[in-house]
Amino acid sequence: MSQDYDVCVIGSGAGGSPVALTLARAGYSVLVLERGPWLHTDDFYKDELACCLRDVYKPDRRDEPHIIELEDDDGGWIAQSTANSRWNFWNGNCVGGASNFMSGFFHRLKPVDFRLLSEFGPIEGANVADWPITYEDLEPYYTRVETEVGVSGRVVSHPHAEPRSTPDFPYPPLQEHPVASMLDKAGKELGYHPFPTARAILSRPAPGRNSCAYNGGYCGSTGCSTAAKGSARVALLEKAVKTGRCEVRPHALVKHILTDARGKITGVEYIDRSGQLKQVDARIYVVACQAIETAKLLLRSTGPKFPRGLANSSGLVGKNLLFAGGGAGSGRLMYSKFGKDEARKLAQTGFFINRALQDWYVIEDKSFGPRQKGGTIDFVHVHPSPVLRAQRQLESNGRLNWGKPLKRILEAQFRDGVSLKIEAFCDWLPVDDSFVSLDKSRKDKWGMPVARVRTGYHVRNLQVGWYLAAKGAEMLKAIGADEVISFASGAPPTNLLAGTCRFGHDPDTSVLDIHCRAHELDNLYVTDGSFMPTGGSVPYTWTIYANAFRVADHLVERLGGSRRENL
Amino acid sequence: MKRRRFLRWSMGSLLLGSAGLVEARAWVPDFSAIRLDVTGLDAAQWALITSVQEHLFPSEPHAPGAKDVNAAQWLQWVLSDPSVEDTERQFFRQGAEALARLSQKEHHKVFLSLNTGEKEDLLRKYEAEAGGHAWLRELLNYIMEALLTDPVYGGNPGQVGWQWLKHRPGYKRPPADKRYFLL
Repeated sequence: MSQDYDVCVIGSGAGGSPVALTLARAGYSVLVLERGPWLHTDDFYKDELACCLRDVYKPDRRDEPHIIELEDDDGGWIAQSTANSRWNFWNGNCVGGASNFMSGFFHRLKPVDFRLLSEFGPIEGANVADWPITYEDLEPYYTRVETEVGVSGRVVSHPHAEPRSTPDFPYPPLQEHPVASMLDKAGKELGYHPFPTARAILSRPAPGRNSCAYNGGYCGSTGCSTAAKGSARVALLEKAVKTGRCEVRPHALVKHILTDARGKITGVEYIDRSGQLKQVDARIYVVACQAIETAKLLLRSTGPKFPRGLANSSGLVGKNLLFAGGGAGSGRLMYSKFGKDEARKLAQTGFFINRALQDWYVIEDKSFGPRQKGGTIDFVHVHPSPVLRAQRQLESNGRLNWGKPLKRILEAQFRDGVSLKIEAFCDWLPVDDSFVSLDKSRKDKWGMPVARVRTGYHVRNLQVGWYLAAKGAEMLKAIGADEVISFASGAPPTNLLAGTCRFGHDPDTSVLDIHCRAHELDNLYVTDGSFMPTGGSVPYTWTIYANAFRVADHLVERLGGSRRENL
Repeated sequence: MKRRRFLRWSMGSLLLGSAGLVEARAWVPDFSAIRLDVTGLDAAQWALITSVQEHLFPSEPHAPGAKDVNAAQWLQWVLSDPSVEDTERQFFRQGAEALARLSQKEHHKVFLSLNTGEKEDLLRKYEAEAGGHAWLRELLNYIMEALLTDPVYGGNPGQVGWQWLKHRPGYKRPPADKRYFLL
């Protein structure tokens, strides 16, 4: 039977694009279906209305809401629609997906993250599991991402540094803000080991891409105007298209993955820009729509043999949804504490702080408890978006600020010092009360059930988050920052998503096998962050990229190896 | 589609099409095209809102105020967007009506004729009322937008807000033909 394409990839972000590029390079035909538009580097600007105030890169929540379940004080669950709320669980609906809008703080997982259960034992109330692969299995792919996506940085040894197969990053570190060396000095005095944070941002040009324009903290939430940021779009998909064997079809929202009575996939059905239903088929199907949307697609793709949804005989699709646990903090370095020259350099916030601490990636502190998993602390500038920064000053203790007093507050916030932030990442432990399901009554504008997302968290997330954030605060105080605060929260960060289709050896306890293939469907793969049984204590993007390259290599082998020699 | 309609409105008489887009690059914000009838509020209500905005964010010799950053026109522009729900227009209209009633009740005068001290007392009283706090907060939110968004949208004229707060815009800034509703 002839198929339209060798491989159909659903979703064009960090999970889908490595597959598209690898397969197209190997000589296979690839179709990438993306529900959003194809925006190009020329369409991205530092425009606060576009990125942050009008949410242009996300679907309208009035048409396509999520139903969010939050825990109330009595252990029950309160459901609220995101249609008219401050919550937004959409991320980057355009070619390249959310990778267009990441900050690009790149950390690898560490060997210990692959065997959390065997290393630390079970945690009551959490579904902790070992991964079916090891760090050594993924290491070559982390390395491949460094060159393919473009990662800049400098390797510095520290107690929890993971092993690596190359001595250093392919791109030198980005220009650093003076706070970086202040943190280095403070860390040394405190006996800690700050190290340069690697970034998926080019420090020198690469083919088709310019180097960084140094907007400081603007990277997160905004698209890159120089293509320095390693989005899946500029770093991978554009190269895939250039092979002539990869077609990217924007404005193509996949409605169903279709299966026949024997349980074989017969094609996918998608809604095109004009609202028409179209069908396409392929030898292999790869789903990579980000954790919530991937679960939603599989759950709604019921068929004669899959009444509970595709790949869901175990009932685990949508379960063990991971956000990222952790804490946060902030402080301000007041210019008045420094000489004129120093103050002028501090006020130049275009350069990056790029410092992190992983001294407590594993916490061995008897006052805190038994040896346990900790996490990562990143030091960053407060996002420079001026409207959002100003809007945070509009209220003090429930009373609105206005008039001349408000204007003096704004002057102090914007002009008298540099605002610094701590971002602490720890595992969002997989728990029964963090999951995605289909809402039984609410439909989106396409007539499809909307996702219902329960956002329960394990108290351990909070404990570790507080611990790490306090260490970060100690560093900020040590460099002379004022107004230092730190805290942890159980609120889910909606841009850091994984889980919902965990991989493993046992079909009863996992959705995907070791190759991220559905246990019960021979030609269905999932390559976004959904495969992760535990999330580690770093942002997910590098791991998603790396794993997708790993699966892509498996697919090339499965399809018969590289055809390039024969082309 | 809604945004496309919005574009046609906000570009005044410019027509869509390739020639239109070339002209759009040189587009300067023109708030004179705003029609108050589509904002859901009448001229008297806008006069009241303008007066409240100027009290919430007064002009000073060294620092711009609401009127210097086109705050009233900004909010009119926002509420003229066809994709904005009517409940949003109602929210601002009902808030203005409630404040007007409170002014009559407390002072037997319209808000505009109150002196600065009376306005302050009345707005603090209004802040304590159900709905008053949220309404004033929204007005302030939109004043911050008019003050600090890219001048290509019509607020922050000549970067007056950015200059006052020494804010450096990121690279690149949006040109007129890449404003968010054109993407």
